Amino acid sequence: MSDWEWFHEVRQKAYQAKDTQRIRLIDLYYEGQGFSEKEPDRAIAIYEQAHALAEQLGEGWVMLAIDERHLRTLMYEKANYLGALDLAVRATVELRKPVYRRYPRRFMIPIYLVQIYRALDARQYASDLKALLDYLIVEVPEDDKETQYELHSKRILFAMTMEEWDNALELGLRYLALCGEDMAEAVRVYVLLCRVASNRREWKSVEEWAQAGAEGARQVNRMDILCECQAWLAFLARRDNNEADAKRYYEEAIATAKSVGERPIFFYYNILASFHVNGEEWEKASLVRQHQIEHVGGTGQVMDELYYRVEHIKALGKLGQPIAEEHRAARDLLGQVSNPAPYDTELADLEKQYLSPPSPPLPPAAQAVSDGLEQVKKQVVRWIAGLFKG
Amino acid sequence: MEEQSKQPFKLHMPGLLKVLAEHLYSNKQVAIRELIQNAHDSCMRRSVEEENQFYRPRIDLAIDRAERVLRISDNGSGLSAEDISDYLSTIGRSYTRELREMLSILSQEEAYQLIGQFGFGFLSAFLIAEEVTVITKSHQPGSEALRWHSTGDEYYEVTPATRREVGSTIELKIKPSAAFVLQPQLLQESARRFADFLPIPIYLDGDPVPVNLTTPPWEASDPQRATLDYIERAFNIEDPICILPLHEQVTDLGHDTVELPIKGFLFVPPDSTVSVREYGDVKVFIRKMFICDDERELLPPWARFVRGVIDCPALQPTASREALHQDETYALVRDAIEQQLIALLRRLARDEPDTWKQIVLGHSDIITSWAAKNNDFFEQVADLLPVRTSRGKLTLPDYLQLTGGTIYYTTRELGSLQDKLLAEGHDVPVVEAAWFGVEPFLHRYAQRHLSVGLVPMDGDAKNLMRPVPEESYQTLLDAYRELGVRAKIVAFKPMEVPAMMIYPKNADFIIETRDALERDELPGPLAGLVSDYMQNRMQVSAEELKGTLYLNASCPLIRQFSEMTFDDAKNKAALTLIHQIARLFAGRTLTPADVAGAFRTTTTAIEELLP
Repeated sequence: MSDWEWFHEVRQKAYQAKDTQRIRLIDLYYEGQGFSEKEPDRAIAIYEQAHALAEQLGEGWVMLAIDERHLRTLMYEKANYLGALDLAVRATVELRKPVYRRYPRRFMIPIYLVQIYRALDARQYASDLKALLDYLIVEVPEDDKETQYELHSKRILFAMTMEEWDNALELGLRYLALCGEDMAEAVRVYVLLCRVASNRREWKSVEEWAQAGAEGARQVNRMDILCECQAWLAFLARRDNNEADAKRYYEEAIATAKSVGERPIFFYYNILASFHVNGEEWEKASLVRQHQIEHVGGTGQVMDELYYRVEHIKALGKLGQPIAEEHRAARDLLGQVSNPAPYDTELADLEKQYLSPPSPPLPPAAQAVSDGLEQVKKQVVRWIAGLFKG
Repeated sequence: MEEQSKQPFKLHMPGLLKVLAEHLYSNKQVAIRELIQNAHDSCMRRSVEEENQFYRPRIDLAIDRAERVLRISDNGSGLSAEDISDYLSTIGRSYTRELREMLSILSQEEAYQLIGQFGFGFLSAFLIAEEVTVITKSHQPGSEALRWHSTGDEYYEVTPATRREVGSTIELKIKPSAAFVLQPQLLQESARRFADFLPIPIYLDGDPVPVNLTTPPWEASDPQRATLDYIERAFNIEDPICILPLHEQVTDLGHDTVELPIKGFLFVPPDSTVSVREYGDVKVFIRKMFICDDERELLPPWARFVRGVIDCPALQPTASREALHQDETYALVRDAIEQQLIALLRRLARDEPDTWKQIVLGHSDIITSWAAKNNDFFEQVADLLPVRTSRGKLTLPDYLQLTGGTIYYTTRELGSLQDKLLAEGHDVPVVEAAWFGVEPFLHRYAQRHLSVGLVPMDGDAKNLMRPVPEESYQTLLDAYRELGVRAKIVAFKPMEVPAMMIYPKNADFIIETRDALERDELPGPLAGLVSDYMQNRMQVSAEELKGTLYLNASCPLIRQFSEMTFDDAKNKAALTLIHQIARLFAGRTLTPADVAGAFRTTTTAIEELLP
């Protein structure tokens, strides 16, 4: 039985039998789906109603299909990974029952579980997640394309989180091959490949993937992906000292991101922040980080929140603004992550740099010399960077 | 370049057709619409230009599947050689538009009856046809019949033809990829969809009954009946709760007034199987020609319980005529519809309160969530909306009478009877605000009525129980301990309930998951993660999972128990019965083993109590 054939059968039977409860159940599923992007809170409320009704009617398969949609809304529209964890574990426990042995989408929820734990704290659960991915690679049927897509994307994301860049690149290229002409899926790979290439410092590749991603995203109307690609192009143009293109791409990215609405697009903001840092636009960089912190707080993505806070401290420091409060918030988060050491060191450095007592002001003449030297230093750094690019 | 010269644009016909086919129109069926509309306008032109009281316009569709040909004939004005050159073969020039502009000075009503606008609709024939032939004879005196033929390239041919009657026949040699239009059923559906309201009858394959209605329901002799029939025909909905007719409206712009020729109706569907289903969509017609379904922006956002049909010639279609330009007129029409809808609903609430109640009850979930977002709408519905309470559905004024002016609410579902009893800790019903739109609605209600208090009752239901010193009940508590039951003494309402069994949150799930882990029912890699989750987020002891019996010190029976000893079997049996009844009312799903155990214990207790 194909992925959704059974669902259409339930629907058809319900309509034939004029079974109002089951018609309501199926309608709730579609209603939830319709609201998922526009009004995720409403979609979640609908999914909760639908889950209860499915349970009451003994429609286990439909119940899990609803849970799957509910999970996607929690993760991709609300970035609520703690809520998603509760639901995913419940669904996983339910899935063990014999009635689901032939359920065509039975691997989706374990795949989402990988995504959730990766977002919560990948390093703490690394060995469990690795084992689960290995298990899924064996179990997921090769011809089940949708599940294979999900599995591939989670494998790449996991490799990226573990900083296994060669592996991530290889997985990304395999994923792209799997997509074939399916542009709706391929655009998801392009942005992942941009991220992988940027971590490998392969800027030409980043540009190629971003161009391909932007073109594809326009074709399939994926504004969340388009804005990320445009942000990459802006970042690269600024990196190449092509300020005219940088500004153009930046404005395009901002306009595109506006059309995405409330959907969380964390990585787009990461690129945007780096873009501002490269241009020494500390005020803007700080605003972007603030925005990210506001959106990620309370969702369970502690590692991400910690990263945003550390980057925010750097921007505040450059602006000469107080960092004490942000520093304290970041320190509080350290206790919640499995591998605090790198951030611990970084926070200590930032503390030294920005929280130590201020040095007395220089006399005006000395200040002028100091400013001049700072300018010369910047020019030398740019010149050296140019040499390497060449 | 030394000399400047003006050069004409060149037109690459195949390229233009590719643009039309791939970018302008969303589907090929629009070709049917464009050609029917041309035929209609041709008939209208003849009736305007030729004052003939016996003229009966008609359009005929004929399918020749063997030859893969579709013919669309009309007895309209036909085309002269000049018309062919100036209009049919000139892209972007529309005779209809020019005639309408002329008529708008002389007769606004006749002008509104003409549909054509852009002058390239005819080109859409090439979306479905590889060859197009037009046999036409103009109504102008002395005209000869002509044959126009094109294969969609840069050239066309005009030759003399044989045709006796005035009018035109468009013969389309259908492309293999568009052969679907040759299915009579599909052609009939397309003609109905696009041209149901056009006043000229459209006949299919010689059938004497036209496929289209020819009159919109609001112009029928019995508009009420015709509207009901149309709602069933077009929306597949029987027995709408009510129909709200729309009318023309003069809108005051401050510096001027503008007349908006709005026609149509709105209706409220009966309560659907899904109470959260949102409508708020209208079918839009312009000059009786269909433009689009599911237009949601023309209705106010709160009107998600309303559907309808609107015909307004002032609206501007996009070039493809599949959507509307959201220009100033669009905004004026939208505002006018909102004003009319509010006035109609107000009148309904005043004059037909039962119908109004039926609407509000039938769509309460949608209305509740939208009322919280819109002041005017809130004022209309706030006192009528029923809210779910622990004592059934009540309107807020009725509810507030019972509670003395305070709304007590919980945002979780009141599942079991015990849940409801506990929630009534203040001896009044509690509102169940589990549906996400209800809580904001209650807040708005409290803001609007300053004397109304709002008390959230979420959190542990145990908070509603008052502590009671244990000393007087020690014997009773010890007796339960001996029976292996964790018991506590508290006081709560209602006093008739002697005890409640309370389990930790997620108790069922925790027990099921622990069992599954113990029995190795989860695949290895998943078991690790689930086990970790249970350890970190579900830390509840096995003892706690058995639940706690909360004995109610306000209940006379429990007070009587406090004065008893429990050495004999009869008294112990009474304790067991209270415990088992409380378990049954706790709202937990009982396993077969639970039920068997409960009956075993209860039977033994009853045996003890029997003389």
